[in-house]
Amino acid sequence: MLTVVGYPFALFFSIFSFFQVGFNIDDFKRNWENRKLVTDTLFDPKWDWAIENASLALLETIQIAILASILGCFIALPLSFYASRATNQTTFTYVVYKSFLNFIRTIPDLFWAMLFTVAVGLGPFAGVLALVMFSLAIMGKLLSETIDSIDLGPLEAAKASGAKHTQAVFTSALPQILPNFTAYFLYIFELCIRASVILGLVGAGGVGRIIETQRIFLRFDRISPIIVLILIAVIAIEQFSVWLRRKIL
Amino acid sequence: MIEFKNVSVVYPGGVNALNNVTLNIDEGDFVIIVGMSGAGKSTLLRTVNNLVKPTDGDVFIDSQNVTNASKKELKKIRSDIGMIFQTFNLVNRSSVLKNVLTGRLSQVSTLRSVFGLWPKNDKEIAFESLNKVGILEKAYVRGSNLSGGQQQRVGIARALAQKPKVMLADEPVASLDPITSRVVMKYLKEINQELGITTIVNLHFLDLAKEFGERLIGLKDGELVYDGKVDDVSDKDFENIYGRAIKSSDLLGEDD
Repeated sequence: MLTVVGYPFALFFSIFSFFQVGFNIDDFKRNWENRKLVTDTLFDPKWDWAIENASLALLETIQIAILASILGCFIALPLSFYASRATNQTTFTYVVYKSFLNFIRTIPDLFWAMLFTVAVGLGPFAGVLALVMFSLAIMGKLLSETIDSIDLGPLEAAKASGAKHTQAVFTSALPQILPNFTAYFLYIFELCIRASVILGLVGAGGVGRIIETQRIFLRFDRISPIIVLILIAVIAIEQFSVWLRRKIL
Repeated sequence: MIEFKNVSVVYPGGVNALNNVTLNIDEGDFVIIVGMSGAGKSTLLRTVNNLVKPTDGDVFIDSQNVTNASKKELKKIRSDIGMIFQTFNLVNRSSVLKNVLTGRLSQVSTLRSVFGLWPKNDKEIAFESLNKVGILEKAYVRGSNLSGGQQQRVGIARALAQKPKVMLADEPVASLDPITSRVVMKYLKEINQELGITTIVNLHFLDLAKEFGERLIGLKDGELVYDGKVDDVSDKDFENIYGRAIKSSDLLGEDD
């Protein structure tokens, strides 16, 4: 069945999409001549300009990511317990919190950035707020699903001894998910670094703003060193996070 | 002290776990409940602290109705009942001391327990309990780094830390080897005799029941089929409870 119908369909659909999307050999040939505009400047990096003008902005990008991931993840921590059946038997609040987390997840981070730049103005504050929602959404989903699969035994034991629900959750459920929380946090932190650069393109602070302004003037000679600086920063942070992960877990 | 009055439990899905059980347990009794898997032992035990709510009938402790107690009353009742489990139910990542301290949760404010600010008195009680089961030196070891027998002793210490009037043990030795099982049963017996704590133990190993028991309760298909002294029990009585001849899997045996 798959071979008779599936593969031919996939082939036909791919060819159809190819033309539908507007892939045109002539366009490609014409624009290939423009490549000189890009390559001439791209491979002539202006390091001095980049270091002088982009360093502070790069720092801001990283700060936005750090602040947003910490805030977002720590807000998500209590919310996740309410969004999991294992620790929340009250159907009403469970549905409310779970729906809230699901809703937050459907909105792309770029949209949050646009929303917040309108609400609180251009700049890093909007970027932080957008990435807080971003971090909250991811941590909420990952953590609440982790909580769904914890060992319920210790919780039962705490309840059997007369402990209050909050006490039982803190002493018998929370310790079980702490390693996961830490791992997710480090992952979300890395995602925020990359997202922060992109959000800068729409004016949410950091180095993205500079990249965008230079792009408009086709100053790829200034953009390429900035990209390399970002790359170095991302690699350094990822190495740090690997080291930290090994230390803690 | 503990009265079961016509207690029946039907689980959602129609499973008839307990059928009209009426039973009286006196203060200081050491009671062993035997029966096949699914006979209702765990269910019966859990009606004592209302982890399972009877669909019919009531359970009374010192004339107080446990089955219909309010949330607040239930917490108070439960704080006087210690429970140990077949799978130990320790928080694996936490230290032994932290695990035992969770037995004191009902006596400590939420704020203190959340931040781990245990009063000196409660810490002392925790250490005393660990000492009673002979593993004081393991206080700061992670729960999961202990052997099964040691973990169960931590479970007993946790229950002891509550300073309970009643001790419930749900198949406490089912996952332990013969020697360790006897060590754990010995501790339960000692605690019952020295501290006068009313103890109910679920077992499915018959020789262990005969070795340590005083009063024996037999359950079959959710009904009470035997209630008497352990010394009066014959093999015929056991066969009655199990509905078949005794197999070697019903006996714990000696160490190999």
